[in-house]
Amino acid sequence: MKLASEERRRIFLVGGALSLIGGLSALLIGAANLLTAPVIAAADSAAQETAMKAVYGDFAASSDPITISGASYVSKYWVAFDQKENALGYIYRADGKNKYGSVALLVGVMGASESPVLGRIALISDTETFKEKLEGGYVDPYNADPTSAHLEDTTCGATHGAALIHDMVTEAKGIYDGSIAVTFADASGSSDAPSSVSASSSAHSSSGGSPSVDASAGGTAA
Amino acid sequence: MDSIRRHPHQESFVSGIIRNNPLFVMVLGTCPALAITTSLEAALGMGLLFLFVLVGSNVLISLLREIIPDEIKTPSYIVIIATFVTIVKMFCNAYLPALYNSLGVFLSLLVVNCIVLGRAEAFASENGVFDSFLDGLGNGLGYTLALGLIALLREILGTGYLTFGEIFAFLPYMRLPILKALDGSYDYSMSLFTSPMGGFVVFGLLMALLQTKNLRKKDAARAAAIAEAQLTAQEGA
Repeated sequence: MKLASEERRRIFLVGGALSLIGGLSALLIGAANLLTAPVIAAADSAAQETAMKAVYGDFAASSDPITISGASYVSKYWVAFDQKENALGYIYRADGKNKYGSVALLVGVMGASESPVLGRIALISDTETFKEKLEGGYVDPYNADPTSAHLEDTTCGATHGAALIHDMVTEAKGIYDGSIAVTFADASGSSDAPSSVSASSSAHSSSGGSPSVDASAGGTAA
Repeated sequence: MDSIRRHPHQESFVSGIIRNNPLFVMVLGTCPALAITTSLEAALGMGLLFLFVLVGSNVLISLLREIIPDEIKTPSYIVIIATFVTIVKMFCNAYLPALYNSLGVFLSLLVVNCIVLGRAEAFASENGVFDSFLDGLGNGLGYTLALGLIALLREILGTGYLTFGEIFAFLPYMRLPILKALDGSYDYSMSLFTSPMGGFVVFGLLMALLQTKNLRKKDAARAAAIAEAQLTAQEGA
């Protein structure tokens, strides 16, 4: 079926207008992205470093992130080092949400893989409705004494949020001790442990050996 | 006042600020007005970002109005508005991260804000670039002032303080005790006003106040017209 010339002209007009608007939009957004992306990346990296320092007081540097797939909340981990390049422990990144909002956090886990020791939690974002109660009634007491007893006690006036954080931390601990099976891959796509981390400090080595991360190395430092 | 000549573009600017205020008179854009007005800084921040989106989209739509075919008017407007919202989000995330986090989803929701879409459809698509710019500026300022007024009352009544420097990091941090002492010696704040219900109460009271003022003005004008008609009738008799 042949289109009438008027109809064809109309189609070209509409297509041309849409292309022009799309191109203009792409140009404007691209320019804005060029200007803002470095600033946003620098701010994110600074925020992450601050959060890592909140997990381990002696934190000085971290390994490259290792991506974790197959977990419900945890998406990656780093090995944290102090200034003398001693491994302090692992830092897991976890993101979770419930009907009251979402939480993103970093949590430290250290010690032997058979008996992992929990480190502090650093909240990266918290949009829970009862945010103050969650942080004041659950996260703060836990961080003052990061033990399983404080982790299990989720009665704080924001029980759903506390239960979410509890599950996120428990999953990180489960990945550390190997009770939760996940897949690891570093930035290059390799599924091995990161090259920057010595084999002895990797809780995730294929041999399943214990990491030599000292539980007292910095988990309780201010 | 016939002797005072109005600037031909003045109407485009002034109308949106008070007489046709998008929030108090047109009752548009009420969702963010209730959600983000618990803090004066957040409300003013939202207002200014809204102003940028409205002015930018009004100008671009007015520029392209002759080439946008009727069939794709609304989708084109949404693409243009979404472009400005994306730009605003990027800059806000980069330079005002505290504001970006506090506004949350309401910043993205500007894409479907009825004021922005309404001004595009009703004004920018039919008027020149300069008029559209002024219309965006007027309506944006009107909305910012309305948000600021609601937030001012809610923050004072709800928290007892007026806080600066919390969201706009470039300002020195300052907490002014108004209804609540910093040392806790007195506290007349009512936390109800920080809740959505308190938002509705403040919004309703301000709207009622503005409507009362408008009605009084109309009544006075009507009374003056009747008096003038009576005077004319008497003179005729």
